[in-house]
Amino acid sequence: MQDFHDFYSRLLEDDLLRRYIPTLMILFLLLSPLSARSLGYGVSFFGQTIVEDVDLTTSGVEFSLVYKPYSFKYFNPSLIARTAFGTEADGAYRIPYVQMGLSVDLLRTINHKFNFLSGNVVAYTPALMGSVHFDPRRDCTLFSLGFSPFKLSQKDFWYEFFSGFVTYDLKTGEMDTWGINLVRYTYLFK
Amino acid sequence: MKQKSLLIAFLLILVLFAGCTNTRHMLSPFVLDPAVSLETKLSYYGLPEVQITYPDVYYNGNEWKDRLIELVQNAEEYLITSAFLASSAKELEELYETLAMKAESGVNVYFVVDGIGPFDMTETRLHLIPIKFLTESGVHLLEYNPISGGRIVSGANLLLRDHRKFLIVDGKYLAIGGMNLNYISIGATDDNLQRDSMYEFFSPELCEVLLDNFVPWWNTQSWEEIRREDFSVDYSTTEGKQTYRAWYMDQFPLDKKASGVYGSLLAEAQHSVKVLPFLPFLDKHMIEAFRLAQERGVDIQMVIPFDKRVGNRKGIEYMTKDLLKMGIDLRIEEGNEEQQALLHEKLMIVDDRYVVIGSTNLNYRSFNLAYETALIIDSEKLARQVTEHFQQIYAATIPVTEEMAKTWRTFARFPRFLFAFIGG
Repeated sequence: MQDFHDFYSRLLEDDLLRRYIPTLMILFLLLSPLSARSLGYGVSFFGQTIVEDVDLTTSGVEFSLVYKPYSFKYFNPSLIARTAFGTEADGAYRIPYVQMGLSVDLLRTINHKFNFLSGNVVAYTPALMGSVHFDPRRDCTLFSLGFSPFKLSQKDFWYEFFSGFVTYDLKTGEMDTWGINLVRYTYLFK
Repeated sequence: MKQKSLLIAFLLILVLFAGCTNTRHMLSPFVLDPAVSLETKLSYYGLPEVQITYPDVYYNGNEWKDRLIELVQNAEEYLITSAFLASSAKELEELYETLAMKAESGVNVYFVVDGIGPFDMTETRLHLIPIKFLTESGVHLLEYNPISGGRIVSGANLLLRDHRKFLIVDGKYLAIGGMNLNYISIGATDDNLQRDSMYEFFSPELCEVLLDNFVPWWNTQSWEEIRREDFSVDYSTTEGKQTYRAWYMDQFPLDKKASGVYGSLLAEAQHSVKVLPFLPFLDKHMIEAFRLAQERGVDIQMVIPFDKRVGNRKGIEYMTKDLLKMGIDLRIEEGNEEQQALLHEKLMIVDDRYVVIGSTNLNYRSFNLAYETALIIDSEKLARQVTEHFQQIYAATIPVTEEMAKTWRTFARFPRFLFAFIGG
């Protein structure tokens, strides 16, 4: 785990990651039409704080990878990996978390009040997510629980607004972190 | 620094798409092999052979609109329509009201339109009324790959577009062609009305093919899932009527089908090819395929439209220097910015026998980045009819010369060419 932490520290110190992220993003977006279907990727804007250390409050961009093998009407599962990249209070660029876990769409309905937001029929699919949450700055592993109350789904896109998450230290049973994703767009290759 | 990054990003897009072109299939040994029959080649590229009746051809958008309204009014069970551009206008109110009325009366109306519609920059933009109101009447409206801030996340996928134009009514009436459902295609009553074509005919076999393609495609796009068995086909429509062989192409983005099909047709040509390409942004493989056919002694005539839209026209003019490498009889319409109605038609006639109609422009975008339809009809009678139409257009053209092409090859035209090559 220390190696992992050192690796990211070196990247950040050299400023490499920050400089090359826009290029990597452009390449990723360009290559996406050639990719396999049923996988997806997402971009989100997040803010999070650590209860015991507000200096580690971070905001920035979160990237995610999604694998959605099924399309059940109730309790539809997806495997999701996420990593965030943002600035702390002192302006330093950091990776505050890497998450990997299971997201479950609790239900899917097209009879709801949000259809005015889209030209096409969009489904309301509120989701719960449980994941392993790794904070490379503190080299600690936590359990994260997230909820997307305003998740709208099309066959090829997810739109999530005001999704919140909290993390718990399973050893102490105490809440460690809380955060919010203001908006998250996920594109599924289909 | 920002300018450098933008330039690098743009060049990356060009390299990526130029490198991924499917048009190399136009020159594949299989396509060029004279020992392989056209039927075998079309079958290899997944084109089903069907029988169709002799088509009624509509060259006037207003006449097609009137016929369309009539077809909609007579629909009893279902109606499926697909168009690249569709929006209402004062002149199109009757059509859209009829569609809404039909949906309200219980007819299943499926309406597909490409998501680029709100960015329609033709004359239609001055007459554009969005058609989302149709959903209030129960029309099943699907906007393919809409363009919005959030969807920028999908990156280069935003370049993939649904350019198909077809109509199915009750498994009985069929129409395929190049006309959209917007103001300049079927609404305008002056020079803003485009010159185009729609072909209406009967073909239960093609209805089956279209429905077999449409239902699963719709279900990959919409939560309002439909079942194939809910769409019946009327087999009585061709009874006692003469029919003709035809092959139907349903091209998906990034597919090699259009390249294989058009390459095979050029390789099949023995003495003549007549082409209306609409936006002639051909890449090097397409140019080479035409050049090879011409070199074999095939007489090829291609008419480039005069485009009133300055951006497109300058892009096309820039392209002519490359088009001349084909060595064909390359013509451009004589026109002026004030009066010319845009020639939006897509047509290819091979050896006075095969007539190729549909939505497919003869260019890089249609062959690589779009859903397209094409119908290859084996009918000398129809070939004679559309050749007459082609000759009327040809009569009002002038040859593109090396001097003209050289004059048009300016750096100022280059950005318009680049934009039109990918986006045109």
